[in-house]
Amino acid sequence: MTLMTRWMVALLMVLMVLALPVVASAQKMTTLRVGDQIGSELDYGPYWIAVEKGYFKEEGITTVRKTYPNGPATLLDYNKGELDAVMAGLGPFLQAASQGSDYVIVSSITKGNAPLVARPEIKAAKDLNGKRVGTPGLGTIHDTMLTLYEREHGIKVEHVSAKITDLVAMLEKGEVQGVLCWETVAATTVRAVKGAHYLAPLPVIPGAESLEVIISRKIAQGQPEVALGFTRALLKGMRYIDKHEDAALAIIAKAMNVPDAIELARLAKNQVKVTDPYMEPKSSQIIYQSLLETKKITTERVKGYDDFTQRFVDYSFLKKAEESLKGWEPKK
Amino acid sequence: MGAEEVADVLGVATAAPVPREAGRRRSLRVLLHNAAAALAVLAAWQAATFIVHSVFFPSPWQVARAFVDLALNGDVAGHTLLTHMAWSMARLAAGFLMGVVLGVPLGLLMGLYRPLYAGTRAALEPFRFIPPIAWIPLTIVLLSGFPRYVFLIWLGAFFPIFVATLVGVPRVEPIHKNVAKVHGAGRWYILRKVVVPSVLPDILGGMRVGMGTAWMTIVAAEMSGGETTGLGRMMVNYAELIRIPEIVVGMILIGVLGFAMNELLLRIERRLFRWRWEVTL
Repeated sequence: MTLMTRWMVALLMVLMVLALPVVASAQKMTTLRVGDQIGSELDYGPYWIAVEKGYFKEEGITTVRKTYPNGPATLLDYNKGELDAVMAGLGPFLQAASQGSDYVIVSSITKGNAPLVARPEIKAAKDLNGKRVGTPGLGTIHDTMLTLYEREHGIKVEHVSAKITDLVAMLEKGEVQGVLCWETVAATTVRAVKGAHYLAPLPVIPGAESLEVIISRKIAQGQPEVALGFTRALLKGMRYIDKHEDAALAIIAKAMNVPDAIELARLAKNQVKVTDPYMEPKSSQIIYQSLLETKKITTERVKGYDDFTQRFVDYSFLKKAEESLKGWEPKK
Repeated sequence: MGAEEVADVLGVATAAPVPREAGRRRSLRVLLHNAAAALAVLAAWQAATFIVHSVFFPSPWQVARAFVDLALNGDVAGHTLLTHMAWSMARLAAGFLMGVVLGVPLGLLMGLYRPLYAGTRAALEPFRFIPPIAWIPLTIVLLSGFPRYVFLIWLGAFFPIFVATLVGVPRVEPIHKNVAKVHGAGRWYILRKVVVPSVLPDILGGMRVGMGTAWMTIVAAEMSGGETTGLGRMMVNYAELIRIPEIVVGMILIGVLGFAMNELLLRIERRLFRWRWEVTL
């Protein structure tokens, strides 16, 4: 080998070694720990589409999913720093903010999602008066929706809290006469309990706000590109569901990983809307007011609903995501 | 032969009878020591709140305020604190009593007839190692309401009482049984007048252990859901609202109630077994 060749080989090797960190960082993925709830794959459909279609990966994000019995339990772990992002109900988020929790709502993800399933002998709302109705927990959005249902129909029921999976057994035994929970658990209940039916498939407030997505303020402020990427991937998931509903249901059914998943998803899909990323303001305020009246929240830390939206809701990532996705069409 | 003569024979010292005035002074000293210990715990707790400095770690003052609010206004579900306490105690009492009613006779029977125990222990003993809370999913499906809690608490209380009774029976002094037999006592008389009084201290000891397990079980059972009342349910409700002071109120109440019930059993024990003198070496 000539001296010139030796120098060239050495230079090439030095350049390769110098280039390695650049290549490595280009492929570097950020891991986000995301909390949600058991049996909620349909409600968080955009998330599952984003996982399956690689939208998170395109944003340089890897998600690690952790499931919990309900929204409040998810937020208890979030407060400890065990999670970076949470998908849960507005009620739990308002309650958490009221007690000092800090986060940023980047997007709404579900509307509706408060179906009331009843035993066969319960034919109308008035039949539930004085009876027991199960919800996934006192602190869930579903318990609040039950309160609104009582007010709408002028009835009074006993709110019985239990694990969402136990509510099915309780309805079957007659320990409770109705169950207000999320989909697709409601659909599972209708199919599993003989004679059970949707007494109220939709909440009393049309298009009511239900579930949102939060990201920790530390990430929103310290790593805004991660917050933007996460929001954009979810938005892509919403657009995919809008455009290719059948294919989306198949992906969600695969994520559910239960027998008859696709039938359950089809039965449940009319009770939820997962394609609108903005919070429904009127129902959100009603929910806030109801929580205040039932003393589930106080005004000690969050002075009112407007204070809440100013401090905890940040649509800037969503708007940037929408801007960057102009003309984007989801491929099937 | 009096206690002192017996002690002389055995060569051990006995505690001298305590004059009433000295007894009162001792009780006051014990009370003051306990008050000081409680204050020390409160001070350590307050110090911890300064160190941890988190909205989710309440101070004693915040917990006290939460207690007053709960006591005066009830909880968010509209139940009073007394209602929660009463329901937990009622479920506990029912399950615990069942544990005593079944555990003591079965323990006596198997203690007196060892072949019966030897022939059934392979079937019976494994159940002792299954924690009561492991039965919760099954009881959700098979039982409802009050019976569910009674069953779970019975499971928690039964085995300590049963085992304490079972191991107490062989420790009955043979000479006591023989003296009774020599004087013409029948089996039933020996059981009532010799065996049961001898085993009672072990039974009471087992009951105190069973009481502790019963409390742990009732709280876990109430937390699992299905009812709207009980201290465990109240704590879970407030956990869902991230209201930590109220959760701590529930914990303290459970501790106080459990302590009170244990003290009650201890007093019964001291009253029943006054014939056991204190021995010091």
